[in-house]
Parts: sequence; C-alpha cells; structure tokens
Amino acid sequence: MDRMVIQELSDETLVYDLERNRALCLNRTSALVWRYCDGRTSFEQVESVLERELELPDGEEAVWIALRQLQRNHLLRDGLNVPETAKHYTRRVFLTKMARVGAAVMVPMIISIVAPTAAHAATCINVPCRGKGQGGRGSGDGRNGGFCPEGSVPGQACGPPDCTCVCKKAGAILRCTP
Amino acid sequence: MAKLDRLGWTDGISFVAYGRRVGIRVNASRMLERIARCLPPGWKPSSDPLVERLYSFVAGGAGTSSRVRRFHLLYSGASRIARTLDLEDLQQALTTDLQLYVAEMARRRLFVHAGVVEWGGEAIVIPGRSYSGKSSLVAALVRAGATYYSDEYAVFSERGTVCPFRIPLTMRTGSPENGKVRSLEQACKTLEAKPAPVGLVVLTNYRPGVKWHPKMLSPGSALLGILAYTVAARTRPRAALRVLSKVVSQTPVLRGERGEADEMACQLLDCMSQSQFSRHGIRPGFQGQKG
Repeated sequence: MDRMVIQELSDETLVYDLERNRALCLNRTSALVWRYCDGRTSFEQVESVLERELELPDGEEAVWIALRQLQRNHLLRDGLNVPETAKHYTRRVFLTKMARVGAAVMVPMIISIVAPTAAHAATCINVPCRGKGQGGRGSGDGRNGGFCPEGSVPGQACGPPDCTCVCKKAGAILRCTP
Repeated sequence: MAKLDRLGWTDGISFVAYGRRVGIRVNASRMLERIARCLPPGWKPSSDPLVERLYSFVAGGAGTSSRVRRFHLLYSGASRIARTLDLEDLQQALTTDLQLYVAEMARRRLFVHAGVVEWGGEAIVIPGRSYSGKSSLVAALVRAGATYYSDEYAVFSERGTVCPFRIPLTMRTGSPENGKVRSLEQACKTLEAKPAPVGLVVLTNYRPGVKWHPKMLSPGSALLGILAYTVAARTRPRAALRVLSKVVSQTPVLRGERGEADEMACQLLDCMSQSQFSRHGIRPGFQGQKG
C-alpha cells in the first residue's frame, strides 16, 4: 500500500494511486470487498460478510464483480483467476436479479479519474494563439508555448482551429509550439 | 544560469506568497512598477535574499539601431518561459506562471481552479477550466449581490474553509478560437478578506438554451469532481484528499449543465438564502434530483 493514499468517507473509499496518478472512488460494496483482500480472508468469508453487511441473498456474484473491477483498476496485488462460471457476471445482470427478489443493494462500482497536472488543472492564460513567432504561454488546452492536451501526438495540431501550432517534444514533455 | 547571472540586473524584488519565497530581477528599474501588478494576492515583501524561485525579467525594446527591436524575455530559473515583442504579454506570462507556481506549491493551502463568491457568510465554489463559463457565472453572482472572492482559484485552508484570491475579474468575449479578453470592472464589497465555510459547490458548464437540472453527487464522486481541478493533485495528493474530504463531507455538490448566467445566479442565491440544499435531498421548488 506504499503506492496508495487512502481516504475514507462515510460510505465510500477514496484511493489515490501514486504510480499511475489516478484517483478512484470505491462505493460501499467495492470498498468492503477490497478491505478483505488481505491475503488471509477466504472467498467464502468475504461472501458471508457481504451477505451480512449488505443483506444480500447471495454474495458470490457481487464479490466476483467487485474483484474484477478491483483488478482492472490495479487495486489487487496478485492476479485473479476468474472461473468460467463467474466470467459472465455483469453489473447490469446482477442489478436486474436483485431487483427481481426485491433487494435494494449497491452494485459494486469504482469510478476513477486521471489526476491533472498543475498546468492541466489551471487556466489557460489570456494570450491567444498567434501561430508563428510569438511568445506566450498556455497550459493544457493547446495555446502556443503551453503543454499539449492529453492524448496529443507530436506533429499534430494542438491549438484551436485558427491556430497553426503543432505539438513538439521538448525533453520529456509535449509543448504546443508555433 | 551562469550566463543569465552575468547579464546586467539593475533591480529586483523578493517576496513571500503562501509560504513560498520568490524573487524577480529586472534589467531596467522602471519595470518594477509593472511587475508589482503581476504579484499574487496576499504577497508580502521579504528581506531574505534566498528564494525558492527566481524569475528574470528582461525588457527588450529598441536597440542601438532604429531597425532593431529586441525581444522581451522571461526566465524561470534557467528556463525561458516567454519571448515576445509585447511587454503586456510578458507581464501576463509572469502573472500566470507565478500564480501557477504559488497554486501548486503553497504551504497549508490547497488551490482549486474555480470561481468563488460569498453569500450570507458561506462560499459558493464553481470549479471549472477555461471556457466553461465560470467567470460569467461569478460576474452574474456579483451583479446579484454576492461578494467576489475569486474567478481564478478557490484557496482552501486545512480546515476546508475557502479564502479570497482577489484578482481583477476577467472574461473572454467571442468564441474560444477568438480568445479575446476584456477586463471587467467588478464591484467588490470592501470587506476584510476572511475565510468562509463552503455552502455549495457547483460543477457546471455553459450550454446555450439549457435549463439547469443538477444532480447531487455522492461525497466520493464530488471529491473526484473537484480533484479534477485541483492544481496540486499530483504533487500533494494526501493533502488534496484530506482537505477535499472535509469539504465534501459537509457541503452539497451539484453537477449539471446550465443556461444563461444571470438566471442561474438568481436560482443559486435564492436557494442559498432559503437553505434549501441539504446533504440528503433537495426540497421542492428547486429543479434538481439526487444522483
């Protein structure tokens, strides 16, 4: 857990992945499963905890859905062997099943964002893109001199439609350059 | 850096802003007056010659020949961050870089890119990037009687209260591609700048013709929503999560697209006045839904 910062809220758990610079929000169900992924608790025990805490008629499906999400979001240290019978479990099917038996449950869910860099979080300065030959500095949305937007490729346009700036590699970063 | 140090520096200023020591040196003393306008709110002069960040402001202008014009240059440390023939642009580059540095590195404060106003002793925080319309909404709220705190950054204390960051309100006119800026004279109440508890956070962006039907976010979703605009999210994630969790635990956070700013401003202030928002639902009379 050295590579993670964890912040508990009332019903949710926030996790910041320091390696990937991702922030994740685990709802109550996912957080409960994650808490018991400690290398000592068996699958059946986790299942029982979920059935007890969340009043689920059957916890197996919820646990597998949660585990797959945790693995997808790099919150499990070891790999996950999902049995064939559990591969078809989905959140939508689970929710429909629970609705049929009248159980109001929280489907395991993890939402995440990529944490912004300082420049990406801040505003673009009030210098419009001038194409060639001018200075100025933008930050994150493709103004010349600033950082290229996320997903940019060197050589591609990085500014608004009337801007002639392109993305260029400057050391380790991509800058929007006239 | 040694090359830069050998240039003729005639004057400079050393100051502290949000716990960080910054120095700015100039090659022409007359530039200091311009530089004073670039300093972040709340700066205090410092006599300490040792600084954590050094800017070098090189005024160009006409050379010995009338056909030669030298560029104005701005360096942060040894890195050049601006090169322009327009002194105003250089000032703007300094202002922005300074603000960004202070916002990222501030001690005991967390900066979120947001507009902020105060109403009835509580702050309304409107996180958003450029062209999301937050400055328009802040201006509309101020016109409706709210107290202007900032249209650039919400500065959160460790306790989750928000402090003013008063720089002149600016708004863009025209399309983003046009990018023109005009300064807007805004009526600030001349009150002592003091931290205010957060009464409401609104995650919104402007879309013409849209009616505002916000959803109330869970604390976790709300925290992620605000973190997306937090300047020090990557450099100080622990502090960011700690401070923002205090904010979202005691403040409703709404998300939804909005229409015209003046209409929305009236709605927001009306609801704040009547204390219609609560963490567990929204009372009738307000077009919102829990999400």
